[in-house]
Amino acid sequence: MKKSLVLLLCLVMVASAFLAGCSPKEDAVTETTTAPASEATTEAPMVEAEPSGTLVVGITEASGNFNPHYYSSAYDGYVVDMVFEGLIARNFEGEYEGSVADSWEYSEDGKSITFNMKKDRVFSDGQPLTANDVVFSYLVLADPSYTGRYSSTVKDMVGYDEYYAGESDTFSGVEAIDDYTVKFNFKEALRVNFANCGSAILPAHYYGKDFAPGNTASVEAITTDAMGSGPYVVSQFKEKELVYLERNPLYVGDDYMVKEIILKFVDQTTDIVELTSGGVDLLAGVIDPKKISEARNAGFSINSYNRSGYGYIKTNCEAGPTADVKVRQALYYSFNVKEFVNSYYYDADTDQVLAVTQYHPFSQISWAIDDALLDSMIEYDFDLDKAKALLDEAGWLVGADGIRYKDGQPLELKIAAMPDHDILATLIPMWERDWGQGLGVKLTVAYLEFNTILDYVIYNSDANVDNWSLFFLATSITTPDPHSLYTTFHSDYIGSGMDNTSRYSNPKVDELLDQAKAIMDIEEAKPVYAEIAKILNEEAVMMPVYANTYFDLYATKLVDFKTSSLYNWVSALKDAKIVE
Amino acid sequence: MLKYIARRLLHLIPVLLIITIILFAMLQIMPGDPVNAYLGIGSNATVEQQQQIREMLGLDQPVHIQYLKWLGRSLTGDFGTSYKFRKPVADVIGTYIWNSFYLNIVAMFFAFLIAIPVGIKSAVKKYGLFDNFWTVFSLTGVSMPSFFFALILIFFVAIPSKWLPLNGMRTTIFLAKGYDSFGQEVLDVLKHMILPVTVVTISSLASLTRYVRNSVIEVINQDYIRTARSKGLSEKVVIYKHAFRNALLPIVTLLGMYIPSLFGGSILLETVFIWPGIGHVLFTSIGDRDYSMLMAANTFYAILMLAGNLLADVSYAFVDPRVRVK
Repeated sequence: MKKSLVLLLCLVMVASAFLAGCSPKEDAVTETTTAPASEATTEAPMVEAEPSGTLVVGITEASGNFNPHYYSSAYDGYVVDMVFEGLIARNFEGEYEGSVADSWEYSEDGKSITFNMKKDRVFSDGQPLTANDVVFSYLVLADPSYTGRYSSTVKDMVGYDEYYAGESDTFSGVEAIDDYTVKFNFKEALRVNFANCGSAILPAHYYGKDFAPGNTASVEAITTDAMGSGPYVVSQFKEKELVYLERNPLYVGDDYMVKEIILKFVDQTTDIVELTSGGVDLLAGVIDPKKISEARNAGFSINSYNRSGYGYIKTNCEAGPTADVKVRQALYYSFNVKEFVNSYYYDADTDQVLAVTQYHPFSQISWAIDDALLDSMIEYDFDLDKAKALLDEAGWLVGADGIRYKDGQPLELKIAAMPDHDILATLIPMWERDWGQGLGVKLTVAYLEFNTILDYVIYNSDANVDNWSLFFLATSITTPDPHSLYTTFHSDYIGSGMDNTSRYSNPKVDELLDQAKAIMDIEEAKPVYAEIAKILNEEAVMMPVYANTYFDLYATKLVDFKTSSLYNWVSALKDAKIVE
Repeated sequence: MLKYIARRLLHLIPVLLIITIILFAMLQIMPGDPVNAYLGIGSNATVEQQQQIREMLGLDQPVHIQYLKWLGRSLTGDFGTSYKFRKPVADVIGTYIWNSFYLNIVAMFFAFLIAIPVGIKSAVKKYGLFDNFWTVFSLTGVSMPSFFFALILIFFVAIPSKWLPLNGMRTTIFLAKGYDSFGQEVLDVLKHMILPVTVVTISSLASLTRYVRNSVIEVINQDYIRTARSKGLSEKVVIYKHAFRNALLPIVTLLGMYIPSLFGGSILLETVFIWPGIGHVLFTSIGDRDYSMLMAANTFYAILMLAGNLLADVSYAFVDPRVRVK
């Protein structure tokens, strides 16, 4: 179930056109609007242990690459998660529990973890799943010829550097102790090591038929014909149309009682009609309030949960006027985030604001958040005078034309914006009013398509460092562990192809991030993360704009379906049933 | 005639080369990184790995070498592997292009079937009620965005009917479990075609009727039509024998031009109807910087366009003896 820490989906852009959200709720809430009382017969005996029923799920589109080591879209990831298992998986509370693993223990020095595996696991062709398959799966990730996106999983393991460089013939990071015991060896004792043990397990006899160290091409070549030990098998894939999965008859256990899953590819403009007309049974992660109220009125069940992620503005901390902390703070004080959230996310139907404003860099559901942290955040309440004073202090003074100058240079903000983007179309006029006319900042808006913005701030960021002052993007974080901040704010990750997009460099933050990742106990790590958040907040490195709520809309025939932000609909299938 | 075709074909070679060079250059100018398409957005690959992928894809080499390599491979029929689909480009395009073709060929058949008689009748009774109706219809048809019309049909026809499918090309359950017979599949696909074909037909009908009408009007004003009329020939013979055959000339050209569009997909329409066609695939390929897909598809369309032109000229020569003399 290994997913990358941060999935910046293109979807975010598409979705933001339909954005909505909901009032902050701590946990998933199920509001069932199956009105008539006459229907309360669901308590009828359900002793049947046989999987039954068909669930049609509307998703955007899977490309057909269901190889867990190589897939690249979140939609393909749904299929991967249904077909494959890892040693460990997250439960509804977001904590890890054994999946293929039965139990585990850490070594004395905390650097090694030994997993005892369940002995009844088989792949869908009947072959047993053994420690050998686990070793094989990690060997592919560590291979010098591996070209997938998950190499960071093995990067911290013992022997990776030597094996990747070709200096060693064996990879000592993952060892099979016996058929059902596997040991992971890490270079350092880090809290975050554990998550790296959950990568999907591939059958060595199937994916590794033609595999030789240094040549992973044959592993990569198996895309649609996926085989794992998970609860479902892919029995049909039609490009651009659907994926049809059936319950794996060899899967042991009473879980996953829905017999057939069809992932039907739908379009955002008509997906709600498909739901209400019965074409699909489930739409997950919906954010448009109109769709939600339509489903509510039509008597569908609704789950809602906080999105694990947020939309944010990042400023260029290396070049241009925003390299100065005072300029960043001035911009933050004169950016009325609350006004935006309260108007943009207002849902007239329920008279609620469907998103929250936050000032810390963590996901809404991160364990790093507690009252002490929230209290320590500067909320940057809208204050134009304070902003002006900060700019004066920084030496940017208003010139004859109303624009601020310093050393003869105008205070110019180069905004890298996306065209036809609902949120930006609302934000830019606000900025023109408050930053432009209010503060005397010259705003230059460059409309760039999504991939070009990524080119500016990630792929080719070294060459483009002078081309932008700020940009807007959204992020989804797939872990409650605040370690996900590491690559986005550590100075080692400044440069082309890397994640520190605001190019923020602070030795103190680097030190704290390094310190925090090694702390095993969550409670001990919290204050360190709080300190990091405080520095980032004070220095206005990032302005989180909104953190919204996701809604899962589904037919009432689907019961016991509990989702949360880290326990998506695929995970929730574990306990779900179809009651016709 | 054969000599003429052979000469024209020879002329196409340098044209095609220039087109591919321009296409290749345009892809290079685009900002963004194709390695991203390969890894997917938000990947955790290290910088060394990104470099390794760049080398594997040959993107680290100078542009002219990349082009020559591409040309060499393409001439042997190997158009490379799609970065996103991880499959040979020819397979990916082959899968989707036929779906677009089925839709377009049916729509084109209906469009010409309706446009020719309507155009002639409008021309004969110029500014009459019939002509005025089709003028308004054409203007509306041309002005209305096809995706909007598609949504109207979905919401006001398909949903109330409870029989017409909202979208897709095949019924979900058949797709998952297969059809009982080929006949059942054809019927199912035809049923799914009704709405999209209506939209495509109406949007191409609009301009097509205008073409036919104008071309007939032009011919009707010629001296030889007056001569035919003064010979005492019936109006029917004048129009269908003398006028129409001459008016066909520009329409034949039009037909040639329509051929490339048969294989092209409409992005918006395919998105709204979730028709598994080529338009949407290519559109997302641009966003993903899937160079090999874009090069292969654009070259294919260039060839089709050139072939369509050639076909139009050749058929023109067949219909109009004057062209052949030259």
